[in-house]
Amino acid sequence: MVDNTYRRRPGLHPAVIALSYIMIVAAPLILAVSTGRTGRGLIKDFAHAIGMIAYDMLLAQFVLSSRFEAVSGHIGIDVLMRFHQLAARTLAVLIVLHPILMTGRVAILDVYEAPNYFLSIVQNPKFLTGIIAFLLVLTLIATSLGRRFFKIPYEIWRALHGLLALGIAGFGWHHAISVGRYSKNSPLAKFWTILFALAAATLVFIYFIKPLLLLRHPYRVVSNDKIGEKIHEITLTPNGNHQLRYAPGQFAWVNFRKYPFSLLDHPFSIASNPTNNKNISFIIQEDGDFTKNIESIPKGHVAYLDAPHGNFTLAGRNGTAIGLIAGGVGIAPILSILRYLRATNDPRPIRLIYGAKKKNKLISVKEIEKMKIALDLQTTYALFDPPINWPGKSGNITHDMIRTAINFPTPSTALYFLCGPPRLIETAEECLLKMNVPLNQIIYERFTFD
Amino acid sequence: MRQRLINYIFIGFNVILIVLALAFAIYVFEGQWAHSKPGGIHQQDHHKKHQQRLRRGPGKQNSY
Repeated sequence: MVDNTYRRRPGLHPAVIALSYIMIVAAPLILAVSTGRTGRGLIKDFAHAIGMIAYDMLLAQFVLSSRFEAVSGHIGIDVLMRFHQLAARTLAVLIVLHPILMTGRVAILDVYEAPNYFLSIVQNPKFLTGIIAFLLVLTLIATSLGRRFFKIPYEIWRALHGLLALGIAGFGWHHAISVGRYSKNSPLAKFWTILFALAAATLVFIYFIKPLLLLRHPYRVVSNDKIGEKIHEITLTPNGNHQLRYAPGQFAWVNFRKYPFSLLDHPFSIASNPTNNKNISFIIQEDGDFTKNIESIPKGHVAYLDAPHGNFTLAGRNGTAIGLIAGGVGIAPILSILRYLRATNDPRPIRLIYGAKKKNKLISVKEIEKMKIALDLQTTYALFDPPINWPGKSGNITHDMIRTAINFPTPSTALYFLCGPPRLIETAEECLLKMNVPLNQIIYERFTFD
Repeated sequence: MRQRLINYIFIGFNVILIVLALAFAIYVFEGQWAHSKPGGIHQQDHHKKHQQRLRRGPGKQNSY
C-alpha cells in the first residue's frame, strides 16, 4: 500500500502572521521618523502616514494572495482571501484619502480653492506616476467589485488583476521614492525598493517559476465517470514516478491545459484517499464556465496539479469523535476523509449528515454504507426534493436534524467538518456552537463571502 | 460566526492603522512645533550655541 498521507498542518501560526503584518505596516512609519525630517502640519503628515500604510498594505497583498503554504497552511486559504478582500477595501479608502488630505486644510475648508489645488497637482509632471497609480487603483476596485456585473471571464480578470496590481506597485514605488517627503533619498526608499522587488518576485514565482516546476510533474486522466446528475469523478495518475503527498480533505488547483502556464487552473477538493495509491480523484459538478464542459475531458488528457492546499483536514487535529456535514458536491473532501478513516480503521464514532437536492445528486452512497462494516459510522441523508417512499429526511439540513444525528456522549470534544453551500455552513456552525462546540473544532473553508 | 470574527479582527486592525498614522502625524508635528515655537528646541539650541560662543571669548570667533 502506498501511503502518501501528509500528516502535518503546514504554515505559520495566525498570531505570528498577524504580528508580522502589523510590524510590516508600522515599519515605514518608524523609518520615516528615523529620517529626522520635520512635519508639514498635522493633516498633511496624517496624509503621508496613510499613503505609506496603503502602499505597504498593497505590497503585502501580493504575498497574501500568493498561495504560499507558509502563510495560508495554518490559517486557511479562505480566511486569508477574506483578509485580502477586506485589506483591499481599507487600502482603497486610504489611497483615495491620501491626495485629498495632502492638500492640508485647503480641500476640507475651502471649496473654491480646492479645484485649483487639485489642478496644480494634475498639471505638475512630478506627480504623474502617483496619479497613474491612483487611477489604476480605481480600475482595480471597479473590475474586482464588478467582475460579475461586467461579466469579465475569470481568467481574464485574474490576468488583469495581477497586471493592475503590478502597475500600481510600480508607479506607486516611483511616486514614493521621487516625491515622498520621508521616502526620497532616505533608508525608506531602500525599504520600498526591497518590498516592491519581493512583490514582483511573488508574481514571477506564481506565473512562471511554479508552472515550470509543475511541468516536470504532469498527470493524465485515467477515468472520467458520471456518478450523478451533472456530477463527475475524474481520476488522475502521475505521468512518471512522482507522487502527491496530501492530507485527506485538502484541495488542488487543477489545470487541464497542455501547459501549466495558463491562468485557467481551478480549485477542486481531492476526493481520494492518500493511503490508497498514486491516483488522485476529484468530484466535480457541472456548474461554472469551465465545469460545464467537464464531461468532454477524455482519458489520457494531460493535467497539472498545484497541490496540496487548504486546512480542511484531520492532520494535526485531535477529537474524540468526528462529525461530517456535507451538502451537494461538498461531499468530495468529506469522502476523502471517510475513505482515509476507513483505510486506517479509525475506531472513533463518526456521524455523517449528507444533503442534496435530488436522489440522483446523492453520490457514493453505496460506498459510504459499506464503510459501516469497518467503522462506527451512522449516516443521515436528506433530500430537498425527495422521491415518493424516500426513507431518509426531507428538506434542508436543520438544527433538529443535526442535534439528532450528532449523538456523541460529549459533542463538545468532537471535530466537525462542514462542506457545502454557505447557508448550510452557517446553519451547521450556529447549531454546533449552541451545542457548546468550540469554534476551533468546527472546520470549514468558505470561498464566497459577499 | 467565523466570518463575523474575521470582520471584528479586521475592524480592530483598522483601528491600529489609524492610531499608528495619527501617532506618526502627531510625533512629526510635535517635532516641527518644538523647533518653531518661541523658546522651542530650535531657539534653545541657538541660545546654547550663543552661550558657548560667549564662553570661548572673542579670540575664537573665527572658529564658528
